[in-house]
Amino acid sequence: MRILNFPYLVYDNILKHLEPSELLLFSFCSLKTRALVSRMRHTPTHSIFVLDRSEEMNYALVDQPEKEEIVITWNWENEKMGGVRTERIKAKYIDLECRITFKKNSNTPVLWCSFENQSSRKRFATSLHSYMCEVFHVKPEMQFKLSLDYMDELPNTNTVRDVTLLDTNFNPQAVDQFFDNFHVTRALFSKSHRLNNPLKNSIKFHRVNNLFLNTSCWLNPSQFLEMDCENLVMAESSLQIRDLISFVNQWLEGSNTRLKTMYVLSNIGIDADTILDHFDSSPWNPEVDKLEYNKPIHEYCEKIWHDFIHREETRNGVLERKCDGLRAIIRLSTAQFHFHVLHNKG
Amino acid sequence: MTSPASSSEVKYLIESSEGNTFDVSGAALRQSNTFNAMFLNIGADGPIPFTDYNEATLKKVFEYCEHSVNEENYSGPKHQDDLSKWDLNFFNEMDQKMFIDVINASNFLDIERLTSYCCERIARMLRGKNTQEMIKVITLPTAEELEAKQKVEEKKAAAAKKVAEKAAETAEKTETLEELPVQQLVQTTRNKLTRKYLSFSNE
Repeated sequence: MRILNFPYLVYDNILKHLEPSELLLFSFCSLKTRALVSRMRHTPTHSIFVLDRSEEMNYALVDQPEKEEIVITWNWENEKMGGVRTERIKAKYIDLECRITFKKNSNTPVLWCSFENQSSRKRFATSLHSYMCEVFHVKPEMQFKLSLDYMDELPNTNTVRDVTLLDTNFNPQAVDQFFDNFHVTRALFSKSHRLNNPLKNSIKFHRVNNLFLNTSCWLNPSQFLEMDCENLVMAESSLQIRDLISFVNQWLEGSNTRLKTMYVLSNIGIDADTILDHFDSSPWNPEVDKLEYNKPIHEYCEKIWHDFIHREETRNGVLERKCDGLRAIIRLSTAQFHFHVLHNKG
Repeated sequence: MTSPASSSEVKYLIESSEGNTFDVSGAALRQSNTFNAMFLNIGADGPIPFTDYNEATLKKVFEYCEHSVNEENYSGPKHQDDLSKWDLNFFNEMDQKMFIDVINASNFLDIERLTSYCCERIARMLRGKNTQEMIKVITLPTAEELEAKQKVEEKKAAAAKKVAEKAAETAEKTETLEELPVQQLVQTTRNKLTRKYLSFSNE
């Protein structure tokens, strides 16, 4: 059926019924099909490279963290390629011999394409992203979700918007190498549940703007006091009351100038009275001093926030630091410590 | 034979490319946004000409419209799995040529529901197919065919270039021949003038 002979409105309507992964394969058919897909009204979105197993990379579109829609899975496992008939895909940035199969349940296309050397693989991943930027109007800033074991396979770039770190074999050098190679411009989300967290003993991630730690029992007090983020959310924390008090004292003395929100979900319980009695606080009026959060917090910590907002805190109060007049709200419950800086001066 | 459009009892005459006419109810016709924009408010004298489409195609399109008159208002494309038995039969009994004609007519008449169902059906043909299979579905030439075609075109271009060069050479020769008498004439005139000038200066 010569679809391309239909009037524009018809094939535009046909393409609207296709999923992004189907559109990607359709765009590979010819220059005209690429132009048709490119001309569609795509909602600008971010993409993410997912590297969680050897010799395989997922490329996904992502509007909300953890809700990736895989467009294509790329497998460069050479052994499985043997003896299988490949086909030639030719587009503006891509010209390669490969084969495409589909995953049984999700129908996600799997691109089988082996490259002997790593630099070719990196170039291919970079080209795929360029292609997606041009044809699908994907935002150019890359995002990664990876186990650091596969860090060497990442595409060529210096800056990354968001990074999600998965469980990895503990190797502190790998973390420092990662932060030397890539500048994380927005958020770092550690999804690892291991006690030997890849971030343990590293100091290079302390200045990432938004830091979200799924498990933070590995974080020692000195690391904690060195944090200089805008937003810091930590679950499963083993920090003691004195550490939290030290952090607040540090802020009162004028450090952590960028801080907006710090939230700690403790493993060991929090004595709200001991903490709040330590400071000279005034009552908090939620009607006047409203809690407002940045987008990354909404995106990454939606569930935590929902629970927290709907739970009655034990105590709260407002602190004011003398050096610049900034005020911050402290909210406490039996297991939660929330420190929120009010950037409107009272 | 038409008139105020509001009543569903009113019948309109439709004229096909063969010049044949047939009746369609006002209610069915009102599903066409093209009809609504053109005739609904002003009425039409005589048959409405949709002469780009044959009778069979138009009858098929309006058969769908007549059937869906009583269905609830269209609210976006329906998945093929949700189609009724009647709808499925309607699509299945068409051959590919008729299907293409129906899509084109439905698109021209701007019948949103029918166009969308047809397009979803085509999208299904592409679903679960790799690039090579998609190329076959949309009958695009493959990379090998394109290369072969390019080679043929290059050969043709080279041959055409040779012919053009030969033609240019021939034309150049002809031009030289044609120019001779003119040049001779100019030379003769020049000689005469020189002679005249020389004789004048001698005086």
